[in-house]
Amino acid sequence: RVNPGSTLRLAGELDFGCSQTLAAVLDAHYHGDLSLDLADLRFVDVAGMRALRGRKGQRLKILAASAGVRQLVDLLAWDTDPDIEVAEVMTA
Amino acid sequence: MSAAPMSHELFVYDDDAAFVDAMPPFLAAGVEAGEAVVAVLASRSNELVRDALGSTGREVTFIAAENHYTRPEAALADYDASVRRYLRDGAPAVRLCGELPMCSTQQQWDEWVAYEAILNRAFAHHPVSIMCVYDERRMPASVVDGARRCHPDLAGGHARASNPDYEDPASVVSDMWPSAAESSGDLQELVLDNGAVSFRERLTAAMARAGVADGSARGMLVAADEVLSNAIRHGGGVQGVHAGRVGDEFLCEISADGRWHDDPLAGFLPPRPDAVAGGGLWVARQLTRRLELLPSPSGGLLARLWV
Repeated sequence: RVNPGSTLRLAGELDFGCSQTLAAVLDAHYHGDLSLDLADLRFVDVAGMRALRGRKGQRLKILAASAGVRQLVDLLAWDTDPDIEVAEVMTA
Repeated sequence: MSAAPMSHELFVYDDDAAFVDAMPPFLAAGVEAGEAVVAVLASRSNELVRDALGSTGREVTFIAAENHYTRPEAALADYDASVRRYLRDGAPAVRLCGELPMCSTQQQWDEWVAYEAILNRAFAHHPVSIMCVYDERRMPASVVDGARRCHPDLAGGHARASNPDYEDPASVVSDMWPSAAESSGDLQELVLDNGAVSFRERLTAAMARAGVADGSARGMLVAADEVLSNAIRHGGGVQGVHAGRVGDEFLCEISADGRWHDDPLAGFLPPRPDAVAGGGLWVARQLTRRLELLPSPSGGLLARLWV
């Protein structure tokens, strides 16, 4: 089990091919609030986003969301989900 | 919170007095009930409503229809986001009146009629009341006839009646959504030998060679990946991918085995907030100018994505 206060940093490309693997890892090790840093994620699709959602009622905090991640959050209707918080990449 | 079902009524009129008699009271009742109230009308209609509502009009958000109704896919996403945000912020329900934009081609009119049909399914899970107004003096008669197939209820004066001409949204969309245009571009085959990661690399390179703008390219990359994902997970896999510039646009064609989709509404319905799956084709439609899904000559499916 991972300490609930910690943040997991994801890197690379998160797509439908690897989304179930990630979902299983999160399910096994993260039972409290999920905090994910996506600064190094080059690509994510809908299946990838859904893998981040965790179990029902689990809170999700996304750090360093790119414009693409932000767009998927809105299109999946996560922007009005009280259990999901999205902090965007700071741009200069 | 009460879960009033969605309502979607049609109001056809041919003089301003009838319009002013019907629309402002519909909106005022929403204001009275504490609902979020939005008017998306032609500028002239907005002014008529504003004058009739007087001080109550301050509680109504007026949006110029010509700015809101750019294309059906975007209007669906905008409405969905607005409705969800109003409800999240405490509105017990949302009340909308809408008036389609004037179009210059029959195809555009047909798309908006299909959009009217889609609304019935897109917002069925929200407490939303929608009144759509059609000014017979301005709208082609064929469009008003099309609208009669898309609204479960008819508004007239102060009473609502069920509409005998209402049809299943899927059959209206199947009739009205335009079929794919012929294209004569110089498409290159993208070799698919190493899974989705290399597919995305090759598509990215093809878009860079074709000079596709960054924002469009990012949208296309996700959209094409969603189609690939659907074809692999729900169909019989991908047969081939061709991509290239067609006129001012970039086209990516993905041919897939199997009939993994035969629902005319595929990709037109916003994902529900509590969904744990689906939404890929919705995203693909949102991130491209147009997604076309056609039967392929070999009995499978051809998806054409345009940016």
